[in-house]
Amino acid sequence: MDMARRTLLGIGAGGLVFLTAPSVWAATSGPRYLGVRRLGDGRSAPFRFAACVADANGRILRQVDLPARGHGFAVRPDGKTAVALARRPGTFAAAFAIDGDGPARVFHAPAGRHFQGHAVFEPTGRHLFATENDFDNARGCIGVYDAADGFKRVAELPSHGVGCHELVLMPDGQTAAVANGGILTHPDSGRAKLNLGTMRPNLAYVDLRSGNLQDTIGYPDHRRHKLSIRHLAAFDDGRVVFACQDQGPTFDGLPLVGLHRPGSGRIADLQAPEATTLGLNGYCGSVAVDRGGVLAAVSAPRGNRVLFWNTQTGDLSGSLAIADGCGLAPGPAKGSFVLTSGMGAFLIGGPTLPTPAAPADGAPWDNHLLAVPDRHA
Amino acid sequence: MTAHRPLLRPATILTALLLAVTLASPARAADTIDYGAINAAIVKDHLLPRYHAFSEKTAALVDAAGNLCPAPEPAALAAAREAFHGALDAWQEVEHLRQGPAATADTHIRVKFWPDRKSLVDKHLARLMANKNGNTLKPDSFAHVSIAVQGFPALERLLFATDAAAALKAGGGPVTPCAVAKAIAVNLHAIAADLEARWMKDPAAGRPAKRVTTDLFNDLATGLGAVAELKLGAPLGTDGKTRSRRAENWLSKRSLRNVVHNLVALEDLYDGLATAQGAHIGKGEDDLIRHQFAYLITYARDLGPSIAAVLETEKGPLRLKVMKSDIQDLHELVVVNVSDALDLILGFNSLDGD
Repeated sequence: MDMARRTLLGIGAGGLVFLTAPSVWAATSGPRYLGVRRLGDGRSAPFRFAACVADANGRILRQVDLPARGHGFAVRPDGKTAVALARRPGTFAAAFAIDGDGPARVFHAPAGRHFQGHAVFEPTGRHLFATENDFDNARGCIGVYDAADGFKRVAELPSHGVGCHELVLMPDGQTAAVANGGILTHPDSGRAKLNLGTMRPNLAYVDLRSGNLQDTIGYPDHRRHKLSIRHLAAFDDGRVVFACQDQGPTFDGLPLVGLHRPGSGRIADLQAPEATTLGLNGYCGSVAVDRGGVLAAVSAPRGNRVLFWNTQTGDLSGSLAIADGCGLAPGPAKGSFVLTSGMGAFLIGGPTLPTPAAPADGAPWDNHLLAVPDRHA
Repeated sequence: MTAHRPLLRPATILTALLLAVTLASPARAADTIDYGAINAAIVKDHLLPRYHAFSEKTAALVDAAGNLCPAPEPAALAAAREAFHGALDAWQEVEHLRQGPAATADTHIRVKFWPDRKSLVDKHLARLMANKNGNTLKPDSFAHVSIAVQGFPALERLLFATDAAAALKAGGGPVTPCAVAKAIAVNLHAIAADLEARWMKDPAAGRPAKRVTTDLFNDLATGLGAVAELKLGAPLGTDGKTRSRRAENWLSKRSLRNVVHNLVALEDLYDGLATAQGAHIGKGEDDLIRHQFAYLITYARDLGPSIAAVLETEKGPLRLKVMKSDIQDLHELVVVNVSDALDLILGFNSLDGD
């Protein structure tokens, strides 16, 4: 049913002409955030999807229509240009000026590849690295696009695993940490998972100049091979927090969140009480780390909860109930995060902050939220 | 087995129904739906009577548990067990309500710490009995002891262990087993009374009306999912080996009795949403959903209260598997039809899978 509805909507949305809402961008200070929202009621007309720029209060500063449902974002380090990636297995990416008011410039993955939904820019802002599925060869890859040449695809690197999903740039500026979810899909089968019996997810550290594998880590035991590593975030000190989606029986209550320091050869589980972990229903949606370099936040939309860990002690330091909460990004201050939900919520929360008030309903925020780097940084 | 299979396997017609709903997508004037009125009716007819019953039954449990010290007579133990069943029946009919007051203060985990794969209930119960401070059992303190011993699973250990009568008598320290049983009962009643009072005072708790309806719908969907995936899924296992001790309340032999109460309450909540003014669920779909609820309740009741006993019969595992799959189908039918009829978004992110 979901597939059928999505397919229908996809056709409808594909025919849309780009329309851009007038920019209300003013001299707002403070951090800004990028997220996809779903617009319309889906009844009188098909849903539309837009890339949105918001301030830390959730005020929409700019809204750029997308050809179809988007997923993650990459933003150039100068904070001026962003790229929205199609939700897998889409093939479009849309580049737009964060402060501008024109429509997005859309480019596509080449034949034989589709986007997996996430990308990063290198520190110079020249090249964009996007996770892609090389579906005929059953391997993940990273497409390299030249921002100085109309986002022409200039190279391809291996992701060193199957079903790569999110990637983040490591503090050295030249290595990407890639979550290889381990799940094989093929566009002929839509989003169907084709290899749950043999999946073997990993976290791979890939040199973005050579494509060489610098380090990799996976779960050692057979049961945990079912934990699809999908989303991650890196601290400035090089530690990586990642979150999984359990393709096995979710009543096992396996820890879904791990911490890895490259070169250490081991994953440290970030634990929660069993009943809390079970309440996540085997599914984490996104990960963020705070500006203070200590806290990690993980959203679990199937459990309607966001969890916070102190990654220095490994202790769960708090959680927030948020219906269908998924999008996460570092908040304006240390110890805070911005949280968005499929019910339209845009909140600031953290383990030591007061519980935010229940927000008014609005257009749903999609899976991910990205903080735009400060313009003057 | 006296239950009959339904005339049509829901899976057979599920696809057709789902497709019909998707393609038709009838234009619906969402503004004709009065969410405030829907919520008020469900709170009055579904939620408050059930929270009230939970409060009353836990009050009876407090009385019965009070007769266990210093050494329980057989009649007192039997009465405490009966009161335990009554209170747990009542809990099973509000367990699906995870929103509002229950969403705060870890209510669900405190009332029912389950599943418990690491035997934390036993470990923390032993630790509690070894505590030298008798004040630990006073209500204010007891609300802060390990959540694993605050609710039904720990009380079940005390009342239904094979040597319960002797074990309840034992204990030389200030924290005796019978006093712990009483403290758990008092704690459960405090939680129940608090939930009822807070729902009576301010049902919406600051939430917009449509949000409350969405949360009720989410509770219905999540409740059906939990019965299938957890209550039936855990003891059925995934590797062909069944594990009866992973069933909920296996010790008091009432795993399926729980499921019956869950389904009865979920059917009632469905009824509240489906009969709301402005909701138009097609008659065919509505009939099928109601038929499946009624059929599954009868089926579960006829199997008997204990999953362990069912698993020991030759056809038992198969029957439970079919039941699980029927509930999964029902879940999908309910989600699609209620979502469409009431213009509610359920889990834009949680249903995504990315």
